[in-house]
Amino acid sequence: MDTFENFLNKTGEIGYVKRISSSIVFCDGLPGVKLLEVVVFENGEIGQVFSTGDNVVEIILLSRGYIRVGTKVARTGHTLKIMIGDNLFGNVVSPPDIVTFEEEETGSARSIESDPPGIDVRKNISKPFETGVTIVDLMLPLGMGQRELIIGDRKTNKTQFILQSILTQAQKGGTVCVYAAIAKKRTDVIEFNKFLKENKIEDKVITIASYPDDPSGIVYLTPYIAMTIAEYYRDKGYDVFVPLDDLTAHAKYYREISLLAGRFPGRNSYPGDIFYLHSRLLERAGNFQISSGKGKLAEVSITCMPVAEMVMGDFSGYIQTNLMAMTDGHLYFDRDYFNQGKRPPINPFLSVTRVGRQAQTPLLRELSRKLTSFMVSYEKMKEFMHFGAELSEESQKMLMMGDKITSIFDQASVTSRPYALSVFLYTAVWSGYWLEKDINGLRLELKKLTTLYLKNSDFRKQVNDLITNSASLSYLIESMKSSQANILQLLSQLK
Amino acid sequence: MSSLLLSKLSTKDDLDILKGELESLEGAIYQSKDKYNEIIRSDIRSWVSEIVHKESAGKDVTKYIKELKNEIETVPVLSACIGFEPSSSFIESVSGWLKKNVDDKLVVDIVLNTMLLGGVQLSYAGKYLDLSLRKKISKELENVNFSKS
Repeated sequence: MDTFENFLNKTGEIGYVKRISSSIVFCDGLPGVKLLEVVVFENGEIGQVFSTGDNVVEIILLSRGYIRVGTKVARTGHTLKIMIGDNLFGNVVSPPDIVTFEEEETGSARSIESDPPGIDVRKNISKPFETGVTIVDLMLPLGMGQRELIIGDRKTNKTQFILQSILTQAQKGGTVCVYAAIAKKRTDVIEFNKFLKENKIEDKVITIASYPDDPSGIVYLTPYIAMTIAEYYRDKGYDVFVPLDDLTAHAKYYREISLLAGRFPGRNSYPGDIFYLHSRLLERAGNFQISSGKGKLAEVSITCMPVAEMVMGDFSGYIQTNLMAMTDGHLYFDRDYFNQGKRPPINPFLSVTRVGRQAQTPLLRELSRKLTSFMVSYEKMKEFMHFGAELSEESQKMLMMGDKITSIFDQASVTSRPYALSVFLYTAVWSGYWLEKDINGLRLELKKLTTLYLKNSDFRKQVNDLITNSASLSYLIESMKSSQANILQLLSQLK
Repeated sequence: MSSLLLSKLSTKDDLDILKGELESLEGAIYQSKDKYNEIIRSDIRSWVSEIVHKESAGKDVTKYIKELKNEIETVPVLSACIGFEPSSSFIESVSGWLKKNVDDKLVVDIVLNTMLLGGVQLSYAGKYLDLSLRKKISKELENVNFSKS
């Protein structure tokens, strides 16, 4: 990398630091400096131009070093780029470790800021995105290329859900995962990395991490770096999954930068461009058609899951509503469900998926519709129960069935359940398996069935083929009913 | 208003001393008239006090000093990094030439850096120019091919 002296001689311009306000540095000079240009300080620290004014240049610090008033500043003439390579897999990378300002945009150095692709290279979402979480895969299906907001109060297992999705996508193979830990505690990032190593998926995941004590500029850049890495692998022909954990913290750090830079505060003291901050990031995700060489077009996607924290279940928060406006749906992690012991505590009635259903097969679409309709009726019936009225036999059966289906949705944290297994468990219960069993007995049977599916490859193949070859839900249910005796016998042989 | 004081300044050190003198004058105004007269008589340079007396005659002194301070903030500074300790006559002649040919309010900030070997590094209004001997030698050394003979 060129030195400070070389940049001074190359650009012929110099600036002097006049004032420092936490992570914003105000300097004079540098008459030809441009917005978003990288500048270098005399002591080797780097910054990015945030704004220019009448003989004042506002610079966001991008490194952890100390700057003094009077320090010289030089332009580099380049915008911020990052070095991307396969060496990033399995490592926790901090933004300052990979930033560069090389002269030419080589294959492995990409600009952090880029325009979202136009509609000419976009394609309708047509492939399902498997999260490995039964309630989402059956009732709230997602698609490859969808932007789905993960929203809920603090400590409601949102990150655990992200981990389950990463585990599922990494184990399926072919999907690159880029996890952006924005202002996360170091212990959380260490736990995350430990999880990847324990499940042997670290070679499929890149972690970009910034911590709460980092300069605001570093935290601000984290999600953009993650998205840039995602675009690099998208252009190489991979599907990419990008969880951004979390964007409410990102907004708070950007608010800090804006207020220190003297921007006029708007609603909740956020600057006026807070929507643009996130929209230009999320618009870079989607489903695309790219040229794969030899004149062919390949379909690749960047699936993005931004995480947003709410306060006391308040859906009407500023950042939360902004993010809901720019995503294709949201998964709501309900505090009440969490307190009742439901895991994952996803409220399917307050969650939305706008494009996931078009990616489902006809069987799954029918299943999802029937299941959702049944669960709505079940919830209404449960409320009716509170009046203490006597229930008919049919209502009691419905409640029993609803309780059993709810027990299928219970899934241990950080475990992944394949699509086919989720469908199989649901249709087993729906077809009338274990009618005489209570909830605890059913849970035991479901556990045995899961073990049988995961351990017995022949059984797994039969189940997968049955689901693939079933054109409708009624056909699948009939097949399940006719195979009930065989399956129960296999289960009884399990210890 | 353009004070005669500014045309008499040649270096940044002069400018900083003048700033300090104006600060103490301004502070003295709010104490007592005797204090102000005492400072202007004994604590600031004679040529400065003479010009201040002349220019502030018949005017509001507080306003005059405030305007002077604002004007001082607009004085352009040319920073020159050289490899030797210059004499006062050298500084005077350089400053005089700059005032005549560039800006009559301009002051020079001389910085000593023996690593330059010779020549000068200039910076003014955000522009930077390296005319040092060190740079020339480094450039020539880049073109030299050190080969075993």
